[in-house]
Amino acid sequence: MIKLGVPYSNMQATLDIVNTNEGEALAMAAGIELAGKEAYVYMQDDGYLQALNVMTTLLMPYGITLFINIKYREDLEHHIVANKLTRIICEYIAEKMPSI
Amino acid sequence: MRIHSRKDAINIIMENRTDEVLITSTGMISREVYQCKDRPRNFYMMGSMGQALAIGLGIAYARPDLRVVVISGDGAMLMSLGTLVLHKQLVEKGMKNLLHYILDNECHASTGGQPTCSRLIKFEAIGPAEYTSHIKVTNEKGDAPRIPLSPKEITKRFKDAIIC
Repeated sequence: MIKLGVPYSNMQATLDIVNTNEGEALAMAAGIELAGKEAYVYMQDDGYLQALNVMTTLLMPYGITLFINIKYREDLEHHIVANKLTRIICEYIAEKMPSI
Repeated sequence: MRIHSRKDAINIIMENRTDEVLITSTGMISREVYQCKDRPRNFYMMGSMGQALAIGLGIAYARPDLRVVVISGDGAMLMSLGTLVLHKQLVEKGMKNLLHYILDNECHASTGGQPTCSRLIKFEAIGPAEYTSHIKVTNEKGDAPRIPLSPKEITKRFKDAIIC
């Protein structure tokens, strides 16, 4: 299991790869999966929104499944909208595309 | 850094391919590679502009037994300069199995030739110089047709070819 992603406050895991942004992290994890190994991606919800393009144009159409650990942030004003949107998007994906 | 047409550059790159895994950037690069030499080990991107190198790095990191070639464009690469630096870091840590070509026509050719700012930088100075090949190409639009494979078909035959 290769751990990669973008660190967030109080993160417990040690990353094998520290990515430069969340989209890159998801794309690199997709490469790891395509190569037949398991990837586990860490990011916080603000970063998940940054990575949505990779989610919708790479992971979903190409049928690449990953473990993504999204840390929810609700502690500061500038996190609130991203947190709400991330919850809505995750529910939508789970409902409409259960295989992802 | 010699100037070719994009098609000629792709023909030259593809002539030398044997068993490498190939990741091609979204747009005309993927279409022209498909037209030139389709093979199951080609992974054609149809979205996620700028992420071809990241996918290649994932494969190269997970599978040191594979040789990986990535073909990016200048517009895509400008979207993810950080990934060039990550490549440099991984080379510093010992990665030797990823060769990255950047075909630079200084514009977004497939959307009408809008200029990029790539003439102002040297990609090979940001990424690992010995594994980054920056090739200037002319900016013709190209006429290669769409790739008649679905993304899921591309994934399936790619994985079947490289996972034993």
